[in-house]
Amino acid sequence: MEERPPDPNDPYRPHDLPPPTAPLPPEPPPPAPPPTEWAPSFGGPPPPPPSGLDPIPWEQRGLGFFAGFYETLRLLATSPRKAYERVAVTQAIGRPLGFALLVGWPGILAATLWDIALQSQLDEWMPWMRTQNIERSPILEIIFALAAPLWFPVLLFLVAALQHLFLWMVGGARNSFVQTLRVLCYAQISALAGLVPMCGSLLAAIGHLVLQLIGLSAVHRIGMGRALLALLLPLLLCCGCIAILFSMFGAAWLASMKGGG
Amino acid sequence: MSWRRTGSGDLPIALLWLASAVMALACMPLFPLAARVLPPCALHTLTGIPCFACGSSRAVLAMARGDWLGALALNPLASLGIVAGCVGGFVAPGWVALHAPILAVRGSTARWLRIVAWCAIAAQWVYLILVQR
Repeated sequence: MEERPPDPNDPYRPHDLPPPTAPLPPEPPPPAPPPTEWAPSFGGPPPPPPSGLDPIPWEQRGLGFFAGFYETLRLLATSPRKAYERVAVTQAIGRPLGFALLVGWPGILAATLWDIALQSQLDEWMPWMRTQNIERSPILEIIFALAAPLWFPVLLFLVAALQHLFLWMVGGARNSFVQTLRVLCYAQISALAGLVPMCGSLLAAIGHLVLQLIGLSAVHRIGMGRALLALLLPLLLCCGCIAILFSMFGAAWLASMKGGG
Repeated sequence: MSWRRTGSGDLPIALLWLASAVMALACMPLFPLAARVLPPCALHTLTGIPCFACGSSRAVLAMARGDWLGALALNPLASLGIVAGCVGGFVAPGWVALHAPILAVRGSTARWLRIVAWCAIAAQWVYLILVQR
């Protein structure tokens, strides 16, 4: 069948066709070549994040050490979602690991010192938390905390590996393992809560969970529900018992209230 | 599913992996001490049903003694994971230095692999319940 040229007066003429008198649209420019993969290194600048925003201040070239550090702290504390959206998708881990050490080490040290200083009070208030299987050595604990720069990166690597595995298992690992590690590194800002006596470790744990949730959701571009599932899956699988334990304690507490009241 | 050559950018991760493997082996004498501090599995204590990870610390202790088959019987997935993690840590830097290829799994293959992983977890749990670890 012979194809006819489109009739300009045809009422069923598709709208996307240009009018017959209009000049042809100019040819689109050739597509830009794909960006060369940024050579990741410990010192080099990361490429801008995919959303077109500036990289997170800690990874911005030209920003001074203290300015970058302070701005990153402020951004993570006040608008973590924005901060994580600015975490560049690169293979570089040197700067995030450095940040994790800078904020994590004082937190670990402070939490250890508070724990040693308040040990007798804590044992008195929470006798069930007392470790009876092992004799505690404050000196060893302090040495262990001081040596955090040696073991902390390894711990972060192992936790990130487990987290990425579970993220992959729930279909949420849209980016590489390195991005999960970077999220974990920036979430260490919550370790600074260890400076608070008594409840510092608890605050740090809650802050860590919240930051990781936001970070994984932003960096892997997944919903909060999926990120939460990936974070809680190890607990559900390995320590599903904890949920049962809490519910049993809750039931026992309710029963005692009922009996007492 | 696709392959890509490793590059210098992968080296920091490979070195971290190596450090993890070295630290795991260096801390082996401390494992019995650490196992004493670990709380018992609450699910197993309360219900008598082992959880998915039950037997992991005993498997690590068995591996530290050189009882590989015993470790495998105690918790197969944990044992295989730990061995793979340690061996991988020692291989990774050399692999990256040689620019050897690594596999990137995507799409339907990844979906199938996920199903296999979930099945493996379920199978291990059934096994642990059956043998009452």
